[in-house]
Amino acid sequence: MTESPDRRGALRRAAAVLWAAVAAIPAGLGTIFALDPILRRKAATGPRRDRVTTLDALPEDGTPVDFPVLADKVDAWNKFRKTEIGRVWLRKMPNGQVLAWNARCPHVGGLIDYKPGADEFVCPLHHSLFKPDGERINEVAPRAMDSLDVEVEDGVVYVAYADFKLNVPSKEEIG
Amino acid sequence: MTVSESTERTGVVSWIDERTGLFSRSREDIAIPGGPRWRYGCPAVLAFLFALELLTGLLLWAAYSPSARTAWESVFYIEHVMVMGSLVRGVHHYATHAMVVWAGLYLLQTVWDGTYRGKREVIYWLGLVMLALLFVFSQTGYLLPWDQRGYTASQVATEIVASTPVVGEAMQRIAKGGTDFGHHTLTRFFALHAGLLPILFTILAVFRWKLTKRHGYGPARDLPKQHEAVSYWPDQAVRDGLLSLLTFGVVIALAVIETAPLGPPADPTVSYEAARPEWWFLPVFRILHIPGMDTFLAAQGIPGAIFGVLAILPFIDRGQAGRWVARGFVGLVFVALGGLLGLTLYEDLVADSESGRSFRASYDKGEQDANRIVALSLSPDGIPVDGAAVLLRNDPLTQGPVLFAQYCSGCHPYSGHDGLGGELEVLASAPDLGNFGSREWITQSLVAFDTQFANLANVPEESEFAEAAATILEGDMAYWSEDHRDILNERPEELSALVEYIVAQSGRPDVTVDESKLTKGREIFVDGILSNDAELSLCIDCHEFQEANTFGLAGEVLGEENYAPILTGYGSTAWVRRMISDPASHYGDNNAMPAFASQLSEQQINLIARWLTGDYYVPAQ
Repeated sequence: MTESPDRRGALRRAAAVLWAAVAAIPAGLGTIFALDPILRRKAATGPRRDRVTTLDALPEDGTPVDFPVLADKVDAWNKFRKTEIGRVWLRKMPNGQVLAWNARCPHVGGLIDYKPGADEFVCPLHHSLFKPDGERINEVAPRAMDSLDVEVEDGVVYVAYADFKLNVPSKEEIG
Repeated sequence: MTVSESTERTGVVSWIDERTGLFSRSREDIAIPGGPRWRYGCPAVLAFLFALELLTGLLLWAAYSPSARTAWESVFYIEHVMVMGSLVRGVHHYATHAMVVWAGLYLLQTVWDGTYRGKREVIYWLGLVMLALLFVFSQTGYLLPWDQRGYTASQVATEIVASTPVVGEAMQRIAKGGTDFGHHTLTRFFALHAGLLPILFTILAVFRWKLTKRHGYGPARDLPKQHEAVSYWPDQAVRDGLLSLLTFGVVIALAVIETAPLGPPADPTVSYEAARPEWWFLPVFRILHIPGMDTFLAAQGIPGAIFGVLAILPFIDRGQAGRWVARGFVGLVFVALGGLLGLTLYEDLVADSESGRSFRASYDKGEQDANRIVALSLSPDGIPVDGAAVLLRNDPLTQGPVLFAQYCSGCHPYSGHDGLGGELEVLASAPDLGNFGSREWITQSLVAFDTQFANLANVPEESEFAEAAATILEGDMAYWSEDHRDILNERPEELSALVEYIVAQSGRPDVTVDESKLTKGREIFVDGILSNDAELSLCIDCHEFQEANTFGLAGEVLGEENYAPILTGYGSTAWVRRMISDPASHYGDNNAMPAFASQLSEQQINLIARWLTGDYYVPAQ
């Protein structure tokens, strides 16, 4: 065809722009959709208060006992009623105070066990060790066990359950 | 050409091009006979749309959960909660509509220009197979949201499969994953829709592309024998790009303006007459609905025959006569399809026939339910693990009117209709319950008892309740109302305080009680003393009554057991429940209403009572 080089160049650019738009717009929209978990945050909720057990269930001698925490949980479209959301270790101190820790190891999140004979907490995954007060014995975990706020009312033990970022020295709540 | 083009380029592009030929190949590969034309754009637009479907489909896949308890729920979540969810789903939905339109145009262009000539029959046949696959794509995708539309329409689709001689029922069972619609129907449809079909379609598309490169674009008939061919890039590419972009714009506009439909969740116990397939299946749907029509003939025989004739068109299309036979046949098919489509749309949307009205009523009810279930799903209680259909089944606002229409509207109107907005089938013989328990209702009962209960005069003489109805109309309450009408009407503030006190007894969640009036209202209720020395005979002289213990009221027993209806908790859900299950327990010997305890389940009675008393979730504004 007899055409000026200018016109061909313009046509070429127009075609390239059009097809670039045709490819880029859907890709852009798709990327935003795929980024949904980052772009859409959960609405902030008030302080938690999860009923765990009764004061009677905790041994007087201060031996730690672990309990599941049951609470309502929102999972995408579903709302689950009273379902397991985590585990805690509880310990009744001589002065009647109750201490609570999230049972997940701050290292990589294994469920921490308690060795009554040795009187220490141990994570079965990488053998991180903690004293009965939650402090570290060895350097496997980057920080002490994650303590949780406890409230005792009418003989019922409530815990403000929370999960924390794993494998970092500071205790940062995930939210 | 390749060499000269490549040497013009420098840097990265040239580096890649020298190794892959990516940038120079496309230009020499396809030649457009006789120069670029708009109408050659069909395959490029279709390819773009298919790529768009793959992209949006993959994205939706990442959020979709194919099971009978999660399919609707996850689609709801995409549509109403996720960022860009509605748009991505809308594009996926309307790109199919666009593909059907462009496939139709492509078929018309192919036959008009006769581009299947010159050893290109296989290319054409591949196109026909891909068109059929497109239909299977759309039909399998239709079920995936697991809403009433898709669920009901897919029942029909699998019945069509079952109508195939000999192997039909086995095929149906394979498609459904058993005898009933359920988890495996969804997993299998999903595997077809998002797995097998895209793979098949892609293989066919690649094969077709190879063959097109081998034989070149089919030249239009109007080209002279000797015509020059122009390279695809950039002349035809500009046209194709513009058409694709325009199509995409229309798809996006549709997705924004008219979001992809999501009906109420599938529920086999709820009839849904408004189930229709997508518009391109409506002609088949219409043929299926010709009385006495055989399913196999309508849905497989006729479409199969059309596809059969289309397949042999390249052999018919020889010479001048053959050309017009081919064009005529395709033209006729399109006119017939368009006619049937138009007829169906007319019958459904416009025609003042019984089926048209019933379609529109059912459609509106479906829309209503769809909006309601979305509101319920977005409520703080969320969707239970049992799925969203349960929410709708237990929702007083949805089920109350349905039950009312079925069981109550034989005597009671609801704001003049049957509860669902339909006309009453018989003369109303009991009070209109549209405003039951409201201030208006209570005021009327006090000062205009005769009009409030006037319908009772229509209770047929032969009815077992005729005597009781007459007694109510001429009973003590009617006299009370007549006696006190003027006294009360002359003292609107005192009447309003009295009414407020009675309204407060119901504890209805939808009524905000004006507590400042309660002290005054209670005084009048208990003492009957009005201004200017007027006096009321007391409600509690005849009615059993224990006041509510809400709004600072004492909850005192004020009226002992007596012959008139019990006023304790009047207008509350509990009161209405008792009224429905055993009205004699309220009205005693004067009862003029049948008891429903044996006819209705506790759950059904509860749903009606909660609906009448406004006891259901209302989204905050």
